[in-house]
Amino acid sequence: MSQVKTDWINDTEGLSPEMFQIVGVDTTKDRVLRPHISYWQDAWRRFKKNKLAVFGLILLVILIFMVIFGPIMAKHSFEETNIAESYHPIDGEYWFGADKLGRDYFARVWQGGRVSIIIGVTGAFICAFVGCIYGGIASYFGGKIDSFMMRIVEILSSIPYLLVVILLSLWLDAKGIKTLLIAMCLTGWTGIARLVRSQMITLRQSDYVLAAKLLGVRPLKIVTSHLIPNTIGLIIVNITFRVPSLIFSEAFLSFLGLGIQSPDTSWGALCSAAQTVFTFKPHLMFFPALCIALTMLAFTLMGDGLRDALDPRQRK
Amino acid sequence: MAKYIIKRILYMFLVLFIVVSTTFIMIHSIPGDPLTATVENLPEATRANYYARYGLDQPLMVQLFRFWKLFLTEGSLGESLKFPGRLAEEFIVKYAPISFQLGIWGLVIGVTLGMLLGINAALHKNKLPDYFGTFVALLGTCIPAFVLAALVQYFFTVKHKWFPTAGWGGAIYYVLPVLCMTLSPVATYCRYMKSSVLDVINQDYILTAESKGLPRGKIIWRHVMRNTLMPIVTMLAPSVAGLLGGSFIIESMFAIPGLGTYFVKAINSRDYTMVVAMNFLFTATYVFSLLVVDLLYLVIDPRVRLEVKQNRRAVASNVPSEN
Amino acid sequence: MSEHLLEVKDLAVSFSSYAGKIRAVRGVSFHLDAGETLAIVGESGCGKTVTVKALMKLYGNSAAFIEEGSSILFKGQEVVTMNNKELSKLRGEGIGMIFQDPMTSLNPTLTVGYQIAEGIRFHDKSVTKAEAEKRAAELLALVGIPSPEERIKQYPHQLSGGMRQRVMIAIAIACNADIIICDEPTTALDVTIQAQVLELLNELKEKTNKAFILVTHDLGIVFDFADRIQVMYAGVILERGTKYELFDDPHHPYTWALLNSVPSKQSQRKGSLYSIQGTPPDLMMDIKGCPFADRCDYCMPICKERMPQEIAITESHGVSCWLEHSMAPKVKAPAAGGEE
Repeated sequence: MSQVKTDWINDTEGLSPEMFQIVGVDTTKDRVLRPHISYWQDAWRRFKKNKLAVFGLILLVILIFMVIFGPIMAKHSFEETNIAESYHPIDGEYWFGADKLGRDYFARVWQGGRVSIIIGVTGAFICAFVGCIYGGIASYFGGKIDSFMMRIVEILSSIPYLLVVILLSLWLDAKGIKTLLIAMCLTGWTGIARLVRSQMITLRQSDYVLAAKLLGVRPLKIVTSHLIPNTIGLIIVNITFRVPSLIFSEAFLSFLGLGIQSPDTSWGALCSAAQTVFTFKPHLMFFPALCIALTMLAFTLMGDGLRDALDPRQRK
Repeated sequence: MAKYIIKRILYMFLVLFIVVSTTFIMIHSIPGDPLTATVENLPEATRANYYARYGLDQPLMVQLFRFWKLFLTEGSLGESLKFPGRLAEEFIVKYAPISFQLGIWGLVIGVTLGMLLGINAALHKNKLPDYFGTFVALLGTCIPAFVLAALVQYFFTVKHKWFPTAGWGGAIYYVLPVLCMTLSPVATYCRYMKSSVLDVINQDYILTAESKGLPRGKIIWRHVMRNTLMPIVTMLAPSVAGLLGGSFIIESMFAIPGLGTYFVKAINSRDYTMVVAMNFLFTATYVFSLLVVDLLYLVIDPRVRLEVKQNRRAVASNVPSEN
Repeated sequence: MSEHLLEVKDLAVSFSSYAGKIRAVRGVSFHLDAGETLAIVGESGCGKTVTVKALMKLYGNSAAFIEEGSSILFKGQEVVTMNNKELSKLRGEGIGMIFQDPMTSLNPTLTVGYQIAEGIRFHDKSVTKAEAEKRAAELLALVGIPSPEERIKQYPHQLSGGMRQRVMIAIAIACNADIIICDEPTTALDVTIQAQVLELLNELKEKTNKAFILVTHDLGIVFDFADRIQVMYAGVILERGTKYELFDDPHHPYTWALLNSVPSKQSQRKGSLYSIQGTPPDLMMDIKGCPFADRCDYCMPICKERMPQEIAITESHGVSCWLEHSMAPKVKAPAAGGEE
């Protein structure tokens, strides 16, 4: 250490003896540096930090607002036909123009949005509900029951849902929200059932659940304080991603003519109807397509944000 | 190892059997029949004749048994109800190749492109390629295929006449439909690849590889790629099924004489034989791709191989495959 | 001043995070000669791992960077400004590294033989695949793995934790690196396996003329293994010296505290083990005085004002503490074995 100056210890310039009184560790200082933040508070804080996710949330709120109040704001009812106004151009009277039968397109777009969003949201919740219970039961019993239940899941997810929809619509002899919902939920819950099951199994094998068991924590308490909080985030994220995929499926089926029937409508049905006149009246395709795209965007951005905020594994 | 593969194949046939039988029963228990769907006010005798000819007057289980017997002995899926004298497999042989070609092209191009974009995004996090990848992924998730198809048709065929409007013929007819079909897989695989690569390059063993002095390219190729492929491979089977389903819309929009169009037609005319036959095909494709995925796992992941050797692996892969 | 194998001057490493810059290493200087073993000791998060990773600019995917003004000379060559090609050569041929957790530090999809041979083949292009494999088997034999010819064909998950750490050691020495960095090589292992791995490292030390850097928080293993020790805290070196100097005549209160928190027979008799109060400082902040001041039993007002300079007790023993100042009260190190 030849470069180290040793005469430094005798250098007293600017130093006073008071500065060399031993005071030891200052124990008066409060040791708690940060206030306690709960899981949800922390998640919300993280979510807020993600600008894209907040944008998605705002977009969604706007869309939902329009879907609720849009048909009321329009000057005509969405069912009111007026052949004289067929393909009415966009103006102060018809904000989005009118369709072939002279129906107010602005009202129809938002009315269609109601159907699309209701199908997406309700469907996602039904799937999540059924999936959670099924996955929970399978993981709870484990062993043979579990593998039998999972085989059923595998088989169900092998059936093309298009076929299910078609069969159901023929069977129930109705094409509409109810048929679509039943058909899409009939096979749609399998994904979340798998997810819940595998998460539950991982959790039950985790050391902290073992520790809780050894400490004598009651099973119900383990479920409510360890298993559910650690799964709920995943489920919420899954729901957020499920909603747009259901809206997509609905649009797809309505587009094929298997979904919502006129005069009731949905975004997919509107696109389908607009397709034939697309070259002449592109705006008829544009508005519902834009709505679908924006809804997808809102849910995807929000889902990404929620995943980052809720998934404890993402924390660093 | 061989035992595992055989077990897996047997299981595949079991699933296929159950799904096809279920759909067979479902579709045959629907009220209405091919005749009422097409002709009204038919004399009772004609109807009885017709039913007898196709065995529709038999109990459901007998019909099901006959269906499997016919398939197993003669390899036939039965006679079309709508086009008497023509067998269901004739339609499949004629139209399936078109649908499959479309689907496979869409999948291959889409998956490759998506993976490349995803890798590039992950390796240049928070730089231009990352933003580009995110943008493409968002675009792909937000735009329904039929909207893209309409836009593409309008722009390339109506406005600029660079491509033939509709119809079916040479390679040029493939371009636009395949383009529309790639969008969704590009988006999906870009997203998944990115998160998968990010996950792997933060692993300790990548640091080990770096400490050996290996250049970045070699590390990515040897150490990152193989490990990122595993979660991606799991997604392939649902993708195959999804693409076949997705081709329905594209086929109808581009007026492509593929299976999708006939499927819808068959259903609307209650052509039971055709519906069951096509469903057979779709399910077989899906189950078969599941099998391929499982076998791919054996190739890629030595841990799985070991489990199989020690007979520890369950029949089906328990990997959660859902997004 | 003769040229050292490795000479580090004013090394500072920071991480950029979106909460701000984390200054993990705040100016450390040290050197290493061939054949000797240096131990860097400190508690978790004190910057010891970051320091040694900086020696080969190994940051993986993290947002770490070396601050300006730092210098790392390896055989007289500046590492800080090296390009990728020079770095490739340095890593493996110059410096090899053994990581903390053998369970995650080996690629699960490649055979251990491949993982050893890959470095050899990359650094010496004339080696054929078969030769490299043979060499890998020899290395496995050297690190004490029985039936190496079969082991090289196995995958990491087929080996136990201790075996994997041996494989890691084989990888680190595969290309005849001059310096082997051991980053907490035994932390993740069972106690009995720890002893075996340390013994192996000791053997290697004796057999070869390699220099070793041992990073650890475990003072128990330091004495047997190291020649010189430096104590790090919050990104700076507080005390350094030969192991005898540090164990027999420690000068810094932090070193006292560290030595006292090792369980010994005395501490067992007294029933309680010494523990240092408080937590290390936030590395995002600027630290004005001595970083240990807040937790130091001998803290003086000056300690919170200015960082003390290093003073040399002997040629090899240095300490940065205001207690060494001529104006400071003379305090004695507390007897080992806990609080009086």
